[in-house]
Amino acid sequence: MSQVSTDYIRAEINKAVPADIRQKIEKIVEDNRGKAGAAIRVLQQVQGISGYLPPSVLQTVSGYTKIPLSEIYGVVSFYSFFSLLPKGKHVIQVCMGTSCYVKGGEKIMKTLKKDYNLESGGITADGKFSLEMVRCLGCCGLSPVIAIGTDVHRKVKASQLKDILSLYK
Amino acid sequence: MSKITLTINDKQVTGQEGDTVLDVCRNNGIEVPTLCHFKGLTDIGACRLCLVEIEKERRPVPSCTYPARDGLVIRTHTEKLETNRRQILELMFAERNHLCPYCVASGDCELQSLAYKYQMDNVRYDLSWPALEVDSLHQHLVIDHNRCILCGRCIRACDEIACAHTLDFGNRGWKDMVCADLNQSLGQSSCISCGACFQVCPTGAISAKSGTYRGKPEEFTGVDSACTICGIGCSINALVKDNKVVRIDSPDLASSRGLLCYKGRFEQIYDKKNRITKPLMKKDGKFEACTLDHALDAVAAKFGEIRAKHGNDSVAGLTTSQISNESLKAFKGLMIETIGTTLVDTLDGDSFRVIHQGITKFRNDGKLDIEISPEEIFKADCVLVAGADPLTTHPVIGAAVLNAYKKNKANIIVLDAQKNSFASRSAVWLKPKQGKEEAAIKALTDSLKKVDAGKSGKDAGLDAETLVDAAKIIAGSKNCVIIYGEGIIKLQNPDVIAALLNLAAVVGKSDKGSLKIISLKPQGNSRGAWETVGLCGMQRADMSKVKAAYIVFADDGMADPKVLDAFKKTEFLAIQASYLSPITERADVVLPSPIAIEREGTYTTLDGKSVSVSRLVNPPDGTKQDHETIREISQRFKAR
Ligand code: SF4
Ligand code: SF4
Ligand code: FES
Repeated sequence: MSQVSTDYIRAEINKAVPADIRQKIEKIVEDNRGKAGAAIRVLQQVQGISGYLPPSVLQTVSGYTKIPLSEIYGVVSFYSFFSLLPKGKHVIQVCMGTSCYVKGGEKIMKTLKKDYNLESGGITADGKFSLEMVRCLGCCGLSPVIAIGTDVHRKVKASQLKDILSLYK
Repeated sequence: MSKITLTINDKQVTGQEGDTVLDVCRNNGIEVPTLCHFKGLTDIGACRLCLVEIEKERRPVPSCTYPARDGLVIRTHTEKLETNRRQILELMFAERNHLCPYCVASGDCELQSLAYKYQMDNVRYDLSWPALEVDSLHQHLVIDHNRCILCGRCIRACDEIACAHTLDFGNRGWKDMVCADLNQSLGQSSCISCGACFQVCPTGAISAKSGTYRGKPEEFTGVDSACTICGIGCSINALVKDNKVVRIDSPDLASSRGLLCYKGRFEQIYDKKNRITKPLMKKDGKFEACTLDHALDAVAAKFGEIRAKHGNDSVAGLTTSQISNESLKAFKGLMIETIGTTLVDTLDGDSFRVIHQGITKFRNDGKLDIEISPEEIFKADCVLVAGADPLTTHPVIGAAVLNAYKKNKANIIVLDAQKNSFASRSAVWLKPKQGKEEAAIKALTDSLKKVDAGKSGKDAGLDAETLVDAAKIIAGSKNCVIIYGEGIIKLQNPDVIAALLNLAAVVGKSDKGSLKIISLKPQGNSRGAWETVGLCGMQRADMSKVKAAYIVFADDGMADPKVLDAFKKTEFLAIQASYLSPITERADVVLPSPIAIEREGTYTTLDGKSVSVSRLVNPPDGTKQDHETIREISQRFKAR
């Protein structure tokens, strides 16, 4: 998970969680009660509801599971899979493994920042794209690599980003 | 427990089964350095300073987590271990910013002391200079992550002692940090401000805003006493320098009653302005300082004069319930025995009367011993909190509820028209319409008795389902404790309290002996005051004919200037107080009074136990203990 500002959490944490989502969370918690590694399963399934874990939702999870918020944060902040911030319609993952980094991963990040105002953990204003920095996508021979949703784009040059992104509506 | 024999550094030593190797070392006077260990907290073996060599173990092992066994052969200070220790210290210094001269803890820091001990005069690694946050939004505490060594003592104290579990490690990996809730500022988190984390932190990472930069531990004197603020009577140990309290700690933090709260630990230390240090007398509408003799004579003379003219009940007395039992007895002696008035009361008398009447309705005697001790909360598997917010008013009791919640998986049921601090942890929140608490309590009682609760439930504005949920939880519990407080007391309706007692009897399937119920009384010595003075002033009398009054406010922070409205027509008002306020403005004579940290004597806890209180610092010159001042007036009155 990438770092989130205190202001964001403070603004979000006391928002009301809609009743239908509360019910879904309660069911997820009940279904996992007593199972090994329940906390991670619960969080994973809850993230499935709306694609990310809003702070107010984590508060609800904490209430149902009786797991303290700080412990939940410990889990959520450890796995890059979890996000406290909304994700875009399309999630861009930029590989920052050694090979991709050397071959231009950083330049890709800079371009995304410059042209789309996207930073790691961030989302575009229209909600279309969000960006994650990842450690290794396992295609070092094709570096630098980015993944958008389930598509992998290989040997990406910063100048091609505009064309690539335009493929996603 | 059986005895075991080990060999440490070639010497035979003994220990008990269940001890760790570290315990055995320490009990035998062998000093093994530690940082993440804190007596009473679960050991986690994080800092690696306590590593020792044990025969047949391939590598050095942490003595703090290694169970001692019969026959172990151990070395604690080999050259290799000592070199390792020095290296660990260097790495700690390199990891974050440990620039001692600029740290609040310098001189009182376990990391610094160890560095001295290991003569660590340089660090062979590049310092990593992280620029970490300093979080100072909390009212009493500052967390400077730059000084943190990630020992996790604060986290374990917060979890195991405070049972708040506000703190935990987050961002694990090289960005590992102590985080509050979702990595929020401590001041915006679920922190209950108990200060346990501050007391256990070995470095300057967690400091208190009160009492920083006041010097080194060897310059302080320790005073053992009990806290007088809220009536729980927690043991405290104060460090004092130059007649100033530097900090207040718990003498045995990890024991079951070791937790303190923000009032006892922090708030009572702060200096406040407008302290009254000299007796004052009003002359032509203005106060003038005078000698104590003069003021005391004037008060005794005036009371005598007025009593002679208008009779005994022309003089009235009112006192705060923050003062000691000795002072309360002296007050009663002066007013009832010496002056002979029947008009005495405590400032929180209304609370007493409604509780007393409630108990009387329930079982005729009105005795407070119907209640149990807060100790019982630790054993509870269900807690009903009615019209109370213990985490704010009596935080140590609030934390006991959290303890039961965490350790006994107790369900918390809140019955309150207002939201309280347990909200997110409560299993059920019964939210009656304002003023409909009695109906709500009755509905709950009926549901428990399996009587149809539909009507009273509806009347209270509770939905049937919530009521059933609450009843189910209570019926399924073995040890349910009921706590009520301000929200119920301020209704001033004895029927509500009788209804709660009745509920407690139904819940506990108990007769009318002692019930598992606790009332959170408003003041530090409410119970003592009610048992000495309260019973005399069984109703707030009509004060309209009163010509003179003697009022002891001391440092009562809750005193409302409106209490003086009853004395609008008095000719003469003598007030004993610690601070100038709109209340003292109305007085004809003001007598100085010590503040909490300056008082001594005995106090009665809210569950009726007597605790003895020592003064932490001396009152200003010329300010006597309240009972001394009051007795002086009695003597002068008699000697007129
Ligand atoms: S003050 Fe108490 S509740 Fe707050 S973080 Fe420290 S230990 Fe936890
Ligand atoms: S804040 Fe203090 S007690 Fe907590 S982990 Fe850091 S050094 Fe240890
Ligand atoms: S004290 Fe044993 S590892 Fe820290």
